[in-house]
Amino acid sequence: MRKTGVAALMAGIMVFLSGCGKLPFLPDAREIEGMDLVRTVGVDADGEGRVLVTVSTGEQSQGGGQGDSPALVLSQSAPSISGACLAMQGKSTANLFYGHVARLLLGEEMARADVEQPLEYVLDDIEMRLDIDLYLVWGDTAQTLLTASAKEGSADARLDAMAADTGLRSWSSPRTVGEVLEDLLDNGCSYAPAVRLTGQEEQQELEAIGYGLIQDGKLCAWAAGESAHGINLLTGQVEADLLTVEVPEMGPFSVRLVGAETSVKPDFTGDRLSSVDIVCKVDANLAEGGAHLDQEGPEEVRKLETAVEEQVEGRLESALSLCRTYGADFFQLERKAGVAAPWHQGKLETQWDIKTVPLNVTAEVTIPRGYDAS
Amino acid sequence: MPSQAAQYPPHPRPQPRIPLSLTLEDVKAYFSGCADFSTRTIRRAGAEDSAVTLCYLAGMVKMERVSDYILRPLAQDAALAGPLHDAFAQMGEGALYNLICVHRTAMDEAAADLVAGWCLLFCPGESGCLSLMVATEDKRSVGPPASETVLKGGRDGFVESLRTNTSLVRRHLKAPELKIKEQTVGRQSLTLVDIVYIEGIADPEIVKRLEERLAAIDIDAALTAGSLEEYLTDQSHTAFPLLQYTERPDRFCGGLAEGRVGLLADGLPLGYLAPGTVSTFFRAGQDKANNWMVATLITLLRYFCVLVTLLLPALYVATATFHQEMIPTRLALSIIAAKQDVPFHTAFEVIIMLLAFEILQEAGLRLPQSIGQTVSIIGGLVVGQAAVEARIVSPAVLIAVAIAGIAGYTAPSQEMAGALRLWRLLLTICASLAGLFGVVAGIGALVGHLARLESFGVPYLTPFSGSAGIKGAARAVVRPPLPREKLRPRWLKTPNRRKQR
Repeated sequence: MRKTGVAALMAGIMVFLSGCGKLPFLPDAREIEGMDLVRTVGVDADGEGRVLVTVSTGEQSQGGGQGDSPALVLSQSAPSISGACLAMQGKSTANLFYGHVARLLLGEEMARADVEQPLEYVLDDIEMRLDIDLYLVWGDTAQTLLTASAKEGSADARLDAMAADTGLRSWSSPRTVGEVLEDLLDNGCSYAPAVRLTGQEEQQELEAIGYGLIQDGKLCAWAAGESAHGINLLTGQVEADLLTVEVPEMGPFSVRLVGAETSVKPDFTGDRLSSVDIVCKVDANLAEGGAHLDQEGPEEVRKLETAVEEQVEGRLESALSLCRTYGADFFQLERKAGVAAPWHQGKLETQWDIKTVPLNVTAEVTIPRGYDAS
Repeated sequence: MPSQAAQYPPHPRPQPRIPLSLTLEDVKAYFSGCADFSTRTIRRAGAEDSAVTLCYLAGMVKMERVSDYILRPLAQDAALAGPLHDAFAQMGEGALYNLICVHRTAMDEAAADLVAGWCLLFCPGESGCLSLMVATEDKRSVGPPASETVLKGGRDGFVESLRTNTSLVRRHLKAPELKIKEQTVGRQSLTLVDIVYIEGIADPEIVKRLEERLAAIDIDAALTAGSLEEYLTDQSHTAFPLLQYTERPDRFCGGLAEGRVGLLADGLPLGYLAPGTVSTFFRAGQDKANNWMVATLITLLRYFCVLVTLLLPALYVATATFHQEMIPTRLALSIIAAKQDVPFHTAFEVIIMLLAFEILQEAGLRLPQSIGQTVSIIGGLVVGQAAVEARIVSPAVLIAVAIAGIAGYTAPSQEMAGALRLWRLLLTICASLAGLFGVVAGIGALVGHLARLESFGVPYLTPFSGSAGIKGAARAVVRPPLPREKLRPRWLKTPNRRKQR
C-alpha cells in the first residue's frame, strides 16, 4: 500500500516535470496582467452580410502612479461577430478578455437589419454575460461613437456615468441584453435606450436621447422627448423627473416626480376583453413655486396635482401611441395584464391586439411635500 | 521480504532492571559513576554498635529536611539508642520525623526512589533499607501562563512539577470524586504521568482507553509534549491536533467538570484534555468569562477567520489565473495595474509569499528576544515594502497573504493554526493547478480527511457531524448564557449529563 502510494506520487511528479504537455482535464491558466479587459463592444453592419465589431477597453491605470493609459479601441470586420472578435486578438499585444464587458452598442444600421444576432452572440459566448447593458446608437455607427469618444477619455466613462446617474437625470433607463432578449423571445418586440453623438467634430459629446423601439427583432422607430418620458412612467423607472406645469390662477410650478408605479389590468365583460386600464400612481415633490401655493390647503394642492396628472397622462398616451402606430407591444403590456389577472391569461392571448384594444390611461399624482423648509 | 518486526533489533524490557540485591555495597557499586551520589554514616545517639548509612543524590534532596527529619533524631533521640533491629523498626514506624517512609526490599524500587530525590537508610544486618522522601521542591513558581493570555480570570498556570500541578487542580476542583491515577512512562526518564478525571462524570471508556494507551507507551524518554501526544492519539497521519492542551488550571478543570479526561505529565507545564474535537479547538478560555453575546460574536469571527486563512490565497490564485470574470471589474483593473512589470506568475508569487511568511515566523521564534523583534520588523516591513517597490511581488498578493496569515492567528490553538497553515498551502497548490475546481477538490479532500479522524472514539467533526443535529452544531458556534447550559454535551457520553439545576 505504501509502495503503491509512493509510486503514484512519483508518477505524478514525473508527469509535471517531464514536459509531456498539459493535462487535458485541467483548465487553461491565463495571467490577469496579460489581459486587456474589454468594457464596451460595438457591432455595426458592414454590408454584404459582414459585421464590423469595435471594442474599447476604456482608460486603464498603468500602476505605480503613472496615470491612466488611453483607451484602446480596435475594430475588425468579418462575416460573423465571433470571427471578428477572434481576429481582433491579433491586433492587441495582450489577450482581449470579454468577461468584463459592461455594455453592447448597436449601430442604427445594424439595429435596423437585425438586433437578435448580436444579442444571441452574447447569449452563446462563454465570457460575456446577459446582464450587460444594451444601447442603440441613433444616427451613427458604434465604431464612430467609440472612436470619437476615445479622443478625450473614452465612451466607457461617459456611459458608466450615464448608467449611474440615470435616475437623477431622468435619462433613458438602462436595459440589459437579457431583458431585451426575454422580450424578443416573448413577442418579438422590445425597447432599448438610445445614445448619440452631439456637437461639433472636435468636441463631440455622448448623450442619452430616449429609446429605440424594436419590432420583430429589428429597430423600427425612435422614442424621444415626451414619449421617452412616457416610457419611463410606464415602466416605473422614474427617480427624479422634472415637470413644469402652469396652473390657471396660480402660476407656474416645477414638480419633481420621485416615483411611479404603473399597473396594467384587463377589464373583461363576460369573456370579452373590453379594455385595459393603465393606472400610473406618481409621487411628486414640489420643487419650485411653493411661495404662491398654500401647501396646507387641500384644494390648491389638488389643483396642482390635477395639472400634473394631465401632463403625466399626456406622456403615457404619447408612449402608448407608438404601440398603436406600429401595432407592436413594445412594453409587454399583455404580459403585465396577464400577471394582474392570470385567470384571464388564455383569453388575453387570443383577444389581445394592441392596435385595437381600448387603453384607459389614468394618472394619480400625490404631492405630499415640497423642498421649502419654511 | 522481512517483516516490520524483523527490520528492527529487539527491544526487551529486562526484569528486574537492575539485577543486584539491595545492599549498601551494591548501591554504592551501581552508582559509583555518579558524581552526585553521596553517603553519610551516622552513629546513633548513645549506641556503640555499627553506624547506619544514609545514601542520597546531592541536588535531588533538600538538605534541611535531611538534617531536621533524619539526622537530628538519629543523633539526638535516645529512643533510637536501643538494639539496631528495634531501632530500625521504630525508624520505619515514625521515630524519624519524615512524613513518607517506605521499607524497600528490591533494588529497582530503591534506585528509583534515590533518583527521585529520596534518601536510603541502610542499617547493618537488616534486609533492604528505609526509603525516605526528602526531595527538594526547587521548581518554577506558579505564574501566569506563557502562551494563553488571561484578561479576566485566574492567572495561575501549570508548572513543570507534577505534584504542584495536581495541587492546582485540587484547589479548583475540591470534589473528593476527583481521581488521579498515576503511571510511569519512559524507560530512561521514568516520567510520572497522571490521568485526572471526575468519577461519575467522565466516560469510563475514555479513562480506560487512556490508561491502556499510556501503558502501551514503551519509549526511552517522555521529555517533550510530542512524546505523549503522538503516542496517545489514534492517527499520526494528520496535521490536525487530536488532543487539546492548556496551560491554565481553570480551563483544565473546566474540561474535567464538563466530562472530559485530563492528563498531566511531570516536566510539562501543560494539561491535556481528551477527547478533542474540532469545536473544542476553537473555544478560548476567555469565552466563558465574557458576555455570551460577545463570546458568540468572537467565536463566529474565529470560524470566519478559518475560512479566510484557508481559502483567501487559494481563491486569489484561482480567480486571478483561471476565473478573471469573477473579480469585480474595478478590482480586476486595480490588480492588473498593480501587477505591471511583476515577472512572476500569480501562483508562484502567492506560494513564495506564504513560504516567506512561514520563514519569518520560524525565524522570529528561534531568535533571541532582543533581536527577534528587530528582525521581524525588518523582514516584515522593509523587505516586504522593498519587494513591492522593486516589482518582485504585487501589493495585492502581499495583502492577501498578510490577511490570511493574520486571520490564522485568531485560532486559540497553535496546533490547529499550524494545521490550517499547511492546508492553506495545499489548497493554493490545488488552485494553481485547476482553479476553483482544484479548490473545491481540495476542500472535499480536507472535509473527507477530517471526517475520517477520531479522538478517543469521538468523531473529530463533532458536533457538526453525527447525531448532534442542528442544535448541537449551533452550540459549538453560539455560546448560550451559562444558566441555560443545563446538560453536558451528548458526545462526551458522560454518565451524568445534568450539570446544573
